[in-house]
Amino acid sequence: MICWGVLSPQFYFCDVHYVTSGSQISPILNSVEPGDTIYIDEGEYSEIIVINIPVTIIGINYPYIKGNYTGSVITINASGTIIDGLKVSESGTRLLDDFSCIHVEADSVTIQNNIITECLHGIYVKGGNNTSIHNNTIEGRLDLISADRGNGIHLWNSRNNHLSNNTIFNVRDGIYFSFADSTEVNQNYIHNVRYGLHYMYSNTNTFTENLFENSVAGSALMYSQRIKFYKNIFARCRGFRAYGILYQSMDYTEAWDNLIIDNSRGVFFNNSNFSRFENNDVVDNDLALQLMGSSEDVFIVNNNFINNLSSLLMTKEESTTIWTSDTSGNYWSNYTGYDLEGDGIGDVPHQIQNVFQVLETKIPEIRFYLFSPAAEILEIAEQSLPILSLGTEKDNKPIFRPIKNTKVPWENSGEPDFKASPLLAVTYLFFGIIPLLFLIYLSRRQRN
Amino acid sequence: MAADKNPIIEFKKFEKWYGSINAIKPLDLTILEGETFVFLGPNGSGKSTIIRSLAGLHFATKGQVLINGIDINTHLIEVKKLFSYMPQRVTLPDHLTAKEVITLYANLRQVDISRVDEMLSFVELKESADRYINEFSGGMLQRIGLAIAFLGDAQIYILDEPTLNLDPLGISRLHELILELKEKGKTFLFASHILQDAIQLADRVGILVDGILAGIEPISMFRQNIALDTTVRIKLSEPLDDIQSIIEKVGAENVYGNGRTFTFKAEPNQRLSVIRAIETAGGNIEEFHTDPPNWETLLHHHLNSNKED
Amino acid sequence: MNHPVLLIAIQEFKLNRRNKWVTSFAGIFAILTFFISYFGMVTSGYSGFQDFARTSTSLINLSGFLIPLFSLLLGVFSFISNKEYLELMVAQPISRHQVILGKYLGLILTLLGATVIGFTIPGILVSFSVGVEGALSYALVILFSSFLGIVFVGCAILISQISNRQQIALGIAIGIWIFFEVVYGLIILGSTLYLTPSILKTILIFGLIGNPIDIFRVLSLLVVGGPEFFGPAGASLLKLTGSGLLSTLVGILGLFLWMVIPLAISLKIFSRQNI
Repeated sequence: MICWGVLSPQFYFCDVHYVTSGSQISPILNSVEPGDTIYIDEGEYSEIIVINIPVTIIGINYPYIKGNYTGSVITINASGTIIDGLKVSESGTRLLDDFSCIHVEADSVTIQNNIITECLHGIYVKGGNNTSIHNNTIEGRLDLISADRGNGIHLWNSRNNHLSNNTIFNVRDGIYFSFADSTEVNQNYIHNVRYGLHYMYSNTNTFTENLFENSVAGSALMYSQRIKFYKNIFARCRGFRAYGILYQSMDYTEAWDNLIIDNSRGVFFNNSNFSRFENNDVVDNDLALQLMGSSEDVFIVNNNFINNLSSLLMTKEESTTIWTSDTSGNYWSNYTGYDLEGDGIGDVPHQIQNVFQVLETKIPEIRFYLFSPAAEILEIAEQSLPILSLGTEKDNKPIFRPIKNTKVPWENSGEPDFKASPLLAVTYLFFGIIPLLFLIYLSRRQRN
Repeated sequence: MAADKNPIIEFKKFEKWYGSINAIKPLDLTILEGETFVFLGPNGSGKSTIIRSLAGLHFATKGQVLINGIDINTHLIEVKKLFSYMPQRVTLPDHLTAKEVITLYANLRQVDISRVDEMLSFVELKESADRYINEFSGGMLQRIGLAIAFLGDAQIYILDEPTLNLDPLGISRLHELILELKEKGKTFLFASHILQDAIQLADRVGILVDGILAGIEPISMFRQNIALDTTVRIKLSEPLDDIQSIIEKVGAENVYGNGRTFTFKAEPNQRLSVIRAIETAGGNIEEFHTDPPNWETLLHHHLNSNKED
Repeated sequence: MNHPVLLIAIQEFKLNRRNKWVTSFAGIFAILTFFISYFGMVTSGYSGFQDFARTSTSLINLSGFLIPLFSLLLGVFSFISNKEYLELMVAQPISRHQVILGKYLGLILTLLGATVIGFTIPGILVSFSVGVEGALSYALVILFSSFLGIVFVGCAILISQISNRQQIALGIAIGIWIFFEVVYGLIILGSTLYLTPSILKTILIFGLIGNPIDIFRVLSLLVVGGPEFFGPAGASLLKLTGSGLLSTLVGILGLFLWMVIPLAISLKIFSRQNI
């Protein structure tokens, strides 16, 4: 068999090895030549594997590698190693030792099509660059409390990686970046974790088309710069301290075409400056935006803010947030103004906060009353007679109708739902008619 | 009244106040077993207040009401088993049938359910038994009230204006029933402002004026008083001269009118003499009416007779 | 079955069931919940993310609005119209408490019927779309709605005891409805503009207990959205009561007090009242 050398660009002969069930993998690893391929038959293999020679390991029907909870299960020290189609589990659980199911300390490693369970960290990349991690399923340990769990994929001091199509759940953080720059993260599905993505001191990163669900934060961006993300969905992150997206000390971030839906808080900015937030849909969140102290010059324009219970919570009385560009601001579904000119821009500025949202900062308990008819009446009164007004945040050019932006994932997938709605309507009517007929039957029983 | 009978209802210094309004002035009254006692009085005289206090709907402000010697204030439920009550005006929920209403009260009184159909037949509502109340006339509702009142085997029947909305046939059937039950020794106590009820049914009549029991009369005396106060009105075909002196000679009093139409008062046995005297004088009687006294004259009479006592 | 309370209750339920006013109210309620749940589900287009909490919030506000009105009118009409029907019952050899309790029970049955019909349609859909857990919290919202209705049936009985004239009783009923729907909230929210935050925190939390509709709303939102629905306010509620379950129990206890107290006062008044 002819192989293409990984380390040196040249052809050379390499072997194919087979490991069958009942035997061990480690002995073969010591006797291979770089670039050899090892096929592992289906079956259980209880052993710790250390790869010091670059090989391609391919599992047939997911051979099950068990580490017996001692240390990392597979350690890759050889650059160019490929791991494909294994089921790996039972790493050690001591967080201090950063045990993981697959531990990488080499460059250009490819890890794909694996199932990783019962791990502390799923995949730990320590110092290796150009790593490719695709199509893996990583499941953490539900039996550990969140703080004792590891991360799905942990990148430390690692650059130019490409992570895509992974499914990660029940771990602490889905993908953790620590001093990991220039990494692309695409089309992953991360749910039931603490933070879906967690960037720490990791600059110039991009993530796109991911789905983050049911976590404490869809993504937590911290102490980093120049992160770009688009076409992601941040959904159903619910809890006292749950956020769709969390910005902590982040500068020069750019976000566009994302959907932030049904979170306790949609987007949270803390000490984050010069961020651009454009063309996103922020829908159905309890609170759409929270701006904490010293988040200067955040640029929030051309977004749809639809059906959020509250739009904005701030710790300061005013901010330097830019809500309006030269041509337009955002669409706010609770905008009560009008557009007599018909140019698609509301004729009166939109007051982003109402009086209670301003007060809520000081007295959170006021929220118990915010969904009552009394609050609605006061809000209407305040709009028509703004003597109570305390909020300063204004969108001077509110867009009058929702912005059609088919790049946002929701607006595409929304279509089939509306097509299905006749069916839903029929179901509704069917179940609606039964009680109504029963009612008529009851009221018709006038005479025996 | 017969001394051997037991007192069944006793009002002892009974008083009723609504705020500062004294609806019933201190009342002492004993009604005997098997007696039919009728409270007569104009609207607002306090009849209903007394009736309702007895039925346990109102509470005495002062004094006591005893039934069979039991204080109704303290043993209301026991006492309620002894009597049956019918309100003045029967209104019932629209969306029940006559039968359902009567059945409820039969169950509450723990009366056999077969009595429901019997009473429906008695008040001639058998055909309408399954119709809703909102299709019933006032008279029919009153008959439902009667059916409910006479469902059980009560000792005492407390009826508030029982004949108010009844048609003449209904009235006579009610009278028959009451007389029948009187035979069985039941006690009746009812309020009415219709003299005819009292005349035909009562053993004793109590006249109420402004919350004061102005007088109690045995029925015989009451009938006589009524008769005395009854005005006779006669219309002749041809005027007759000197009619006043003609009839005054035979005992007519208070003669008013002209030669052709005139009124007078006379005791019943003298009325015939008056008619004869007119015929003897050549008069031809075209119309003859008797008008019972109105409330004012009756009360005037009683207040005067009380003063004489 | 022959207990006077049951006899009166069944009769009361029967006549209310045949009342077109009652059935059309249940029908309108059903139609409104239908529209809310239908449009709630359709407009949250992103598949897999049924907006249960949001739809429920609308449903909770709808029932918080309509059920007290329905209960008050139902109760007042039942006691104020057809006084002789009541009179005749009182004149039967049963206690006055039994008469009131019988009618109360009958009114509750009516209310439960109307609530169940009104909530059935969205209920079926909700359980289709949010699974067992969502259906359970939805069922709890129905239960709390019923509690709320029972509270106001009790209030209606009390109103009818206090005023025996139909127009006045209806006026008081509508007044009480408006007070608890709007005025109470206006007073509480208005006070936030003038009082200092430290006093306000106490007023705002304990003020909830003073209004059964507020108890109902917070209780239902707690069940549907969890304490985190209220953000930091939910956290301070948890701090006060200890746990989410305890806050729910405290809320239910509050509703129970609101059920029991007006009824007890009514029984007390009615037992010595001239009717």
